[in-house]
Amino acid sequence: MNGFLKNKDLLAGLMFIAIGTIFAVGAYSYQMGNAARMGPGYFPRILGFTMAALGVLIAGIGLKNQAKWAVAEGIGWTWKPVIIVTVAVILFGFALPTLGMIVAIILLTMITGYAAHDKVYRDLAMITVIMCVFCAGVFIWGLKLQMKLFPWS
Amino acid sequence: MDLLSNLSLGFGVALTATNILYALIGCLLGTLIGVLPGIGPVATIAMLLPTTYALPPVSALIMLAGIYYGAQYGGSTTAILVNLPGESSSVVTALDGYQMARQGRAGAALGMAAIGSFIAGSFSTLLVAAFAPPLSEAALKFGPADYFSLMVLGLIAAVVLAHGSVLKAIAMITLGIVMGLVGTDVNSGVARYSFDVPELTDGIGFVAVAMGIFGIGEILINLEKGEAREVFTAKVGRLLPTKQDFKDSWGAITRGTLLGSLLGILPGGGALLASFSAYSLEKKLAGPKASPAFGKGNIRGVAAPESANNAGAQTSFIPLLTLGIPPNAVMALMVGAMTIHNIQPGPQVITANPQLFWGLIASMWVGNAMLVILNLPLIGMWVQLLKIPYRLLYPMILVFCCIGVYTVNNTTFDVWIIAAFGVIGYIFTKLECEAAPLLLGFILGPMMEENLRRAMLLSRGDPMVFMQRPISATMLVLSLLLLIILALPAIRKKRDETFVEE
Repeated sequence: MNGFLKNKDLLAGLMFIAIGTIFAVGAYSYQMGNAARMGPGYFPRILGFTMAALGVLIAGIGLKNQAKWAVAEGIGWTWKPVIIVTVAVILFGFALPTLGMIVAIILLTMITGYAAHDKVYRDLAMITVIMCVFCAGVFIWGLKLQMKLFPWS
Repeated sequence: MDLLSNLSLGFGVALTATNILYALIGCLLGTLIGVLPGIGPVATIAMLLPTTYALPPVSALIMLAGIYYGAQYGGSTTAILVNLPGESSSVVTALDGYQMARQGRAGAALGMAAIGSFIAGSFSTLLVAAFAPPLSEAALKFGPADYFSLMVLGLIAAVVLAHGSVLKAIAMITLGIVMGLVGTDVNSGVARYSFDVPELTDGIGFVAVAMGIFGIGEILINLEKGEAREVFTAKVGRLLPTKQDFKDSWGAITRGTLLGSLLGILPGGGALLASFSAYSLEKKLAGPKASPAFGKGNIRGVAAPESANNAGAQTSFIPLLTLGIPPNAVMALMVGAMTIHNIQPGPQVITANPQLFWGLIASMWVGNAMLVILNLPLIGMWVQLLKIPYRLLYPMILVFCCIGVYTVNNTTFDVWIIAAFGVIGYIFTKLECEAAPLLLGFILGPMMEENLRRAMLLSRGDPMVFMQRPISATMLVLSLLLLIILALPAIRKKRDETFVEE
């Protein structure tokens, strides 16, 4: 089982089959029309099926070479930084319009800082201050973009 | 002399004090961000796009072009100094450039890269000026069927130029096209694949996708590797290459320029293929007796790919300006920028807006000159910048990405989109699915559907229309030929070799 999880072609193929099927099936909820008058579902349906078919081919090639993949090095998913960064960016999206740019930047830099192998909190704090001053200067005072700076402004 | 009067019109626009200033700011900002390891031109342009919103259209495009050249040159600087190419087109520059840097000749490598780029840029700017008008006239004869087939050819060409599996690249293109279809269908008004999310009815923003995959996704990949960067400590050395260097390089610069200009025009081509093939050509010509050997610090190995990639960067504007079809991801971003300023790229720009058209072309040359003037004295500053450890760099990059994407539409939703596409980009990289073809499909998707529908409507549902029109038929036959050639085992082996340059 473990051997299959190392097979990048197989996994990619399965991914394309899944996404292609979703789009193809989804296309049926829209009008198809005919070749002369294509409805909104026509082109996506073709593409969805094409993608799924390509996925089958890719997965098939992966299975054919399974022996090679089984002895290959693992893919090495590293989810910790992925999760930290994603959560921080989502929070930033919440914070920017509600709490203002300064709070949003502090959240983003301080949380994502945890993702590094070698974190130094003093440096991180320094970067946060620099980014706050720089972004406020460039985006709000310089380019005059409409953005909230502080929670109370 | 039409060309001369056109060019003088262009220089009249480009050489006003304000536009020179914007070209300067663009080059400076582009280099500043582009020099940061792990950020290529796509991410740089996406990040800096908001800085141009407030400007008049001509100035905005001039500044963006400046950002593009700056980002490319910044990438080469990083490649030479720390052996960390920020983008694939400077991968080959790193091979010999970094070796030169280790031998204390970083200055000569950087200088030659700048000079080669300038010569290539000047030549290819002239090419663009000479060929764009006749081509855009020819483009007016293009019907919907021709446009569709041309885009098919472009996408197939993009597959040929992607490295790795051909099948995966085609699958990524189809994925890109369907993703581009998300949102309200212009013909029927139906919101497709929007899952009742109001923000999705406007479609997924191109900037958000590009920044998510190429900005955030790249950071995620770098974070798992940890710091593996050799901080550059050696002296840069004298910047001006020696007489011998010039003697060694001029042939390489000429060949690189010609090859790059040609490959840049190809849809799906651009800087990447140009620099790879220029390097292999130089290596072949020099033979095994080259001294110093290629890969050991031969200056021709820097001069050729740098000239080629700059020439390619220039000529890839041709399909965009004449046909309105972006040949690569960077040009797709330019389309995005033009639409924001209410300019519909295509053959009509040259007649409807000659000031903008010729101003942009003239500014290409101004931008190239600026790079030489600007970068040689500023090398010291870029070196300092490269000493910043990555653990401090990536939070900064994230801040710029997030604020940048937020300002496009002033919505939180776009910030979430980049978070999602960061993860998606990470998964793609892990599964060895290259994202560049996806991006191209994404931008061409809606245009393809529109032209397919129109063509089929005109032919009353007869698909033979694509073979009956000579332009369309030629494009499709070319695409088919490309696919067949690609399937031949001998060529495939060769292609794999080109992209795995030691």
